Amino acid sequence: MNAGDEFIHDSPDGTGYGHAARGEELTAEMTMLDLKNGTVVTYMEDDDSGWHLVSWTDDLGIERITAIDPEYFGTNFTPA
Amino acid sequence: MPLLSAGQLMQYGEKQALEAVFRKTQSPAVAAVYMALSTSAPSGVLNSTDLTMAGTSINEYATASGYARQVYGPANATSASPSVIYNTAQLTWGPFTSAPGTCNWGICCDAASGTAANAIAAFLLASSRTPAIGDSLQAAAGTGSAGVGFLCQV
Repeated sequence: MNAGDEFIHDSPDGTGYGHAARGEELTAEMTMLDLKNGTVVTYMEDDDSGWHLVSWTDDLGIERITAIDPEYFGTNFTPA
Repeated sequence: MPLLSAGQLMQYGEKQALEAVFRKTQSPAVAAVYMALSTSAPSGVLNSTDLTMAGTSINEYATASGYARQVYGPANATSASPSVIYNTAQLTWGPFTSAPGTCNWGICCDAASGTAANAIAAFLLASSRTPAIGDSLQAAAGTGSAGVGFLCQV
């Protein structure tokens, strides 16, 4: 995986990243800010803990950077 | 050691600014800088002499929580005295996959990750925040007014 590679959040159950972590539906405000299923992310680098840093744009048009658990990444993201 | 009690440049930022203004060294190349979140208490902990994000007083959120530093994206410094600089867009961290604790400070540094990043400035949050699992944490865009966004002045 190289910096600049694009991936799609392709969760098997269709939930967002935050939703999946919480295990239940988020509030409307937090749902708006979640990394939703179908979102295209760009791989940046791995941080010191080995989590993948990805950049993406949320529903408000805000540029975000989020750390993704590599195990979750392997099963919930596919190449764009 | 000088402890921070309000937003101000850290030692690294002070030295960079002075050496650039007084023509001792060339300013660093234009590049993105990043806003980190710190759990250090509002007073008596964060030390301005910590040069990098490895400093023992920094106490940054753990990345194994969905957390990552966000691009600060400041406007040009204002043509006023005191001159100020601030973020032009909302900053949003998360969503968090585990509870990262309570943050009290934003710390601007010069890398998206890693403890080797230089600590440039620290900003005391108007109120502490404790995001829950699944939450995202938002900070307002600056306007140039004190208390709105991450505003820094020399």
